[in-house]
Amino acid sequence: MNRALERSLKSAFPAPPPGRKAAFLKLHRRQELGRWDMLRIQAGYIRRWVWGLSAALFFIIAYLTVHIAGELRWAASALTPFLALLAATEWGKSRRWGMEELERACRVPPQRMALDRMLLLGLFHLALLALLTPLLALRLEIGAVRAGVYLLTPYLLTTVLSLEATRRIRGRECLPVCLTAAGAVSALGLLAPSVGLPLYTPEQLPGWLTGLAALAALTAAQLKTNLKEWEERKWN
Amino acid sequence: MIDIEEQYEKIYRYCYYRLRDPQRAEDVTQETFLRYFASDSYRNTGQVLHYLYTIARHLCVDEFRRPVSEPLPEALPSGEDLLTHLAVQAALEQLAEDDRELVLLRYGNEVPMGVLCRLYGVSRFALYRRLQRILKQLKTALKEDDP
Repeated sequence: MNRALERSLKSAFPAPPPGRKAAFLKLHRRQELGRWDMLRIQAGYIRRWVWGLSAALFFIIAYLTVHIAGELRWAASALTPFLALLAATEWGKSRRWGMEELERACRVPPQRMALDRMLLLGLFHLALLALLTPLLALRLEIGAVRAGVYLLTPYLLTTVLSLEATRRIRGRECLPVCLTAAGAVSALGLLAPSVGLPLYTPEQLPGWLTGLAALAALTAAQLKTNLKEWEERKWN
Repeated sequence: MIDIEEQYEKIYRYCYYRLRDPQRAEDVTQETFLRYFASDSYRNTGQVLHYLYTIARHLCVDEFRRPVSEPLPEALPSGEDLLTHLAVQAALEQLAEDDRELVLLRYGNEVPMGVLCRLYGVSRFALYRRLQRILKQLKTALKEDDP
């Protein structure tokens, strides 16, 4: 009954067609930035060395995956935190360089620009990790799911830690903290097998999956908190 | 991002039902959009609809103080639809002005609940309850009309 009534109400407010709409819109309409225009523009603001280093890291990880054996064969998983570090440097860029005020004076809100940049970099990094997954799976004979989880979990862990750091520490001081976080996550992944920590055994997979799900939720929560704080700090 | 053409129609419909005059409704609609175009602070913030309806509402209140010059001309549907339409119209007439405005915004213009909550300054739960009460009132009125 409610649905039928709601449908009737939708057409219960007819109005004569506005006679001056076309002329008004033709005269006053301003160029709106579409979703793709915005992404294209923001792609240009991501520094070239960030793209370059991401690609270089990808090749290093791929090379290590193919050529290194023994305890260090998990290096592929241990190096993905540095990809996340590159993304985090883009996230906190305006704060580090004291450009927040200028960005706030722009027509497009800075949080939208930052989100678009993160979306682009995140998709790029995901594509790189997706390319590494079959390589790691074949080389270590561990299956695509395990390989994907081993690559993505340290990446997200570093992202969460770095976002927390950029939120709490203003200016360039946050960069060493992000670097330390990436280094710590990387060292944990690299050294765990050497010290007898059974991090990469099949028995640990449920733990990894749970961790991955939790980190994905935490990343979303961190982004939301960051954006909310950004919105609250109104300029003017 | 909003579809200006679509929103123009919806804001115009809202103004038309507030003012009951197509000319004045279109004047107010255009004034609302001129103010929107002139303001950069609300653009791209996800609060555009809220902003547009707030401005339109205030302008309608100002405009409403002038006397109404024309009755409501309507393009009526035909056959069975006409009977339903007239019954719904009669039921809507029994609602309070504020409730009718809310029905127009929510069901006629399909304004999202979040925007309406901000516009009326109430919680989602309170708004949901108010809409349920209005729908119940409309259903009762429609049953009374149905012999």
